[in-house]
Amino acid sequence: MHTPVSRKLVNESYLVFASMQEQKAMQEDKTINRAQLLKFSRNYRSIIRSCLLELQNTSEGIDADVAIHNESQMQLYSIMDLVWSLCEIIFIENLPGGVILLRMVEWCKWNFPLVDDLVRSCMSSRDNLPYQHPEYWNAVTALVLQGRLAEARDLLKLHPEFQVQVYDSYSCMDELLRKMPVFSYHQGQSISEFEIKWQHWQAECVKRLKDGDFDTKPELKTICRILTGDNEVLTEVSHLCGNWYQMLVTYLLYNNPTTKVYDLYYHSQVCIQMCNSHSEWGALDNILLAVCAFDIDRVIRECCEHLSNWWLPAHLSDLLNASGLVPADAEKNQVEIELQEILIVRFAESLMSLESYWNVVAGYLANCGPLSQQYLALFVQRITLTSEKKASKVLRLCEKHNLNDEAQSICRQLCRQALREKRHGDALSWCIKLKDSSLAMYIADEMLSVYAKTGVFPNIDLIDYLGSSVLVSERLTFLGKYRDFHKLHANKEYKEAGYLLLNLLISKIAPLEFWPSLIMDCLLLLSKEDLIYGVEETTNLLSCLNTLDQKKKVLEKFSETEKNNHLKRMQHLRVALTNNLAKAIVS
Amino acid sequence: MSESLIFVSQKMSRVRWKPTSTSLQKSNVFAAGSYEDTKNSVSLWEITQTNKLKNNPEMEDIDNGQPRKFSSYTVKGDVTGLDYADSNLIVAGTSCGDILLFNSSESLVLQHEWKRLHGRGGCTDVATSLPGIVSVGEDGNINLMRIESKRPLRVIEHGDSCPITSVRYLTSSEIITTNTVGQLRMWDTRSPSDSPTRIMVSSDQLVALRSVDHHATQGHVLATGGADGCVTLFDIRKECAPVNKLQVHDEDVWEVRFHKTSPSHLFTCSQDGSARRLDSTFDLKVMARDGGGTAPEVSEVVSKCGLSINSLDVSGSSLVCCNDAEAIYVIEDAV
Repeated sequence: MHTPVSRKLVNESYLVFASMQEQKAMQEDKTINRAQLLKFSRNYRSIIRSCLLELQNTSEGIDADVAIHNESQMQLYSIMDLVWSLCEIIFIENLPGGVILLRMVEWCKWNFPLVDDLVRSCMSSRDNLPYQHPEYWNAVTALVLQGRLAEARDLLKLHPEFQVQVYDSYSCMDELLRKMPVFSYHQGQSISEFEIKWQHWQAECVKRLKDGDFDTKPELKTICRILTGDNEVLTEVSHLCGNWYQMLVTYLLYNNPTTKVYDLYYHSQVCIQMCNSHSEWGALDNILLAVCAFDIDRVIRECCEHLSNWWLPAHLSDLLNASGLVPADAEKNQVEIELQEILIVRFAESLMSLESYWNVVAGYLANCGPLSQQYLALFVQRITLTSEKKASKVLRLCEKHNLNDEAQSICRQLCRQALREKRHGDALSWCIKLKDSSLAMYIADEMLSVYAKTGVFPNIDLIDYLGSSVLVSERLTFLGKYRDFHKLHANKEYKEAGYLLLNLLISKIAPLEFWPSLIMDCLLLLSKEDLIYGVEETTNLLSCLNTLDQKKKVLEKFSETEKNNHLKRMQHLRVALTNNLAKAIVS
Repeated sequence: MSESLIFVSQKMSRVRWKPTSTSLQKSNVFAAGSYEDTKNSVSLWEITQTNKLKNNPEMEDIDNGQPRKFSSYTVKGDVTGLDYADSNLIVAGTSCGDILLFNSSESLVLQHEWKRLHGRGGCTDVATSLPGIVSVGEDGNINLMRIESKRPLRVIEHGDSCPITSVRYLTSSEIITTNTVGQLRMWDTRSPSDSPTRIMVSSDQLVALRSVDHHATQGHVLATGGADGCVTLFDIRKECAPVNKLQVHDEDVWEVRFHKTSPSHLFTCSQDGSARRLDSTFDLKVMARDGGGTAPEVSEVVSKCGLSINSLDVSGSSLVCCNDAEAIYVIEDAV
């Protein structure tokens, strides 16, 4: 499934699959009407056909391995095309009796070009005139076997012994071929009317055969025997009959042209008996027999067993299930749904080995059946996140399908990775998305410790623009506000800065380890000329100072010199605050 | 509008039309860069015209108007940034952090490679304004180079704390970048400081900005595409820069492109699988005044195709875009 051509198959068919799911979602009973279904079926078939064409066109100029692989791919695609086209005729088109045969004649014509090859070799040979070509009679007979009587007549006319005026075996045959009735459903002919005409015609053929009209020319006699529905003659011309399914068309044409879909199985058994000698029974035969038997389960099962990939069973079963052909019996329905789910999951699994397919795999898993969310969740955990863009796409996928736990775990994973690589800004943006306050607190602490060591805030360009996201964690809010304080101070807006600082201390969102720094900032402000703090504020600050004195924990982390410095500063601050209080009271 | 669609067996992350010498000429060559494939490449594609197929009349109906690859060059990592410096030079950025300069006159020939300019996550976008090239990456670095220089002229390390998502040249010495926390920044390449000249935010929520472009004639008008599906218009003359925010798509807007010669059209493409066109005079004074009244007309160029459309470009009346279903769309008469 990884070659360029199969990638086209997978991607194009995924788009058809996705639009089918959309259609289904619009209907309540999850079925699609016949016309639409036929359109989707034709879409799929045209995709298979175009891939087949492309494989055929690229057959030159490639090395041996690729050529072998291409061959097997072409075989696979032709089988898929054959099976799908027959399924379309039998299951989807829902044709009335009599019309089935017409479609099957067409199907035969398009899929088995042996006859066309014969005709072409007759017509295009340079040395002989057509009738002298050794394959001439084979070509005519084969055309009759496939029911293409107009073409047979044209070819017959090329024989010199055919003279219009003289009534002899040739013109007799021509008349019979011309007069064969064809069921014209669209002109409103009824089945019984057609049957009468046809039986009349066949009786005429029998009569002329008995009368010995064709005794002079054995080839014409053979053809007439075919027209009379003589089955023994088919063994004589078996080399032209092809497989049992081609013979089925012949058999039906000249024995039972008004056959209904349900009788196909019986007739195909007869043909298989007749054909038994030649070819071996293969996978394709099994599948086609199941189609004729109108047994959808068996078709899917045979496809799974015998084809090398899951594409056909997964998509075909999806299409057929949407048609409403599956019985309404609840229990059987459940089995069908589960089977379909497994088929799609197996198909999606086969795609997983190519990383590029992950969007398509996710699309399939999201629509496989009742357990789609679980499958999707498992898959999402396996996607490797190579870049931020891919991570965003995966998160968008999770969001769409309500996989909140997976989304959270992805964000957490990315956040931790960023932290390990010391990219604090990136980590912060992920944990804000996550709304995880403990991680945010950890990151804010890291940033504050950087500030404490260097005196410079890291990632200012992020902190300044966090907006309402600072509320994710208290520590983060503190960081933001502390940075604001520094900005105000730098802008010489001392009064606002002072009030902010006070708020930070009073509201207790500042971590205890930072109080000493905050106290220092206080000192700076107090040493300014203008009075910044009034009576109330100064009293508050004094009480904060007292609280700090009582918390011995802060001093534990300090070394001896630091402890001494700290106590000295506290002393200075007490003095400064008292002075300030005095000033405030007086003014 | 006529649409032609081909499946190319590779997911493309960027497509760019080859610039034509006059605005009247129609471009029929585009470059595309692939990503997330086992082997990624930069490739050149040609839209086949009728007269070229006279010798193969059977294929005429099928191939007419279809793009055809005529050159490709394998790169290491994903192609994340792609830009035509002029009609013969292409600059590509990869997820390994390499910036490659190609000569693309006949086929792709590598002219120079700047290796490992970006660390983790690699390059996310490149922009050119001859002779300058700028590249930005997930590491927050901005690299400024010139076509002929062997090494970057200037590296602004950690210019941004968060991954930078896209970059454009505003003038030959000013660039604009967007990042994953919703900031639009302006930088002056001649200024010695490593800080941006200006930071603008599109909203109070930290919504990532994915792409940016400037109006072709009104240099103060910028448009950004955000992760919430909104296209925000900025007027950099104003103190409070974001002027108008329009909800154009349901999911991330991966690329916004102003039309170079008919600037009243803005094209956007999105994760929701559609590509849309906004028609407006983009006269921001009028828009700011009227509020919702003169909202741009939004029309759909490519309707929801099932998977994300990653990139688009428009030249003349042709639009090319690529999506995650490994398909390339070429739309004629998109304007």
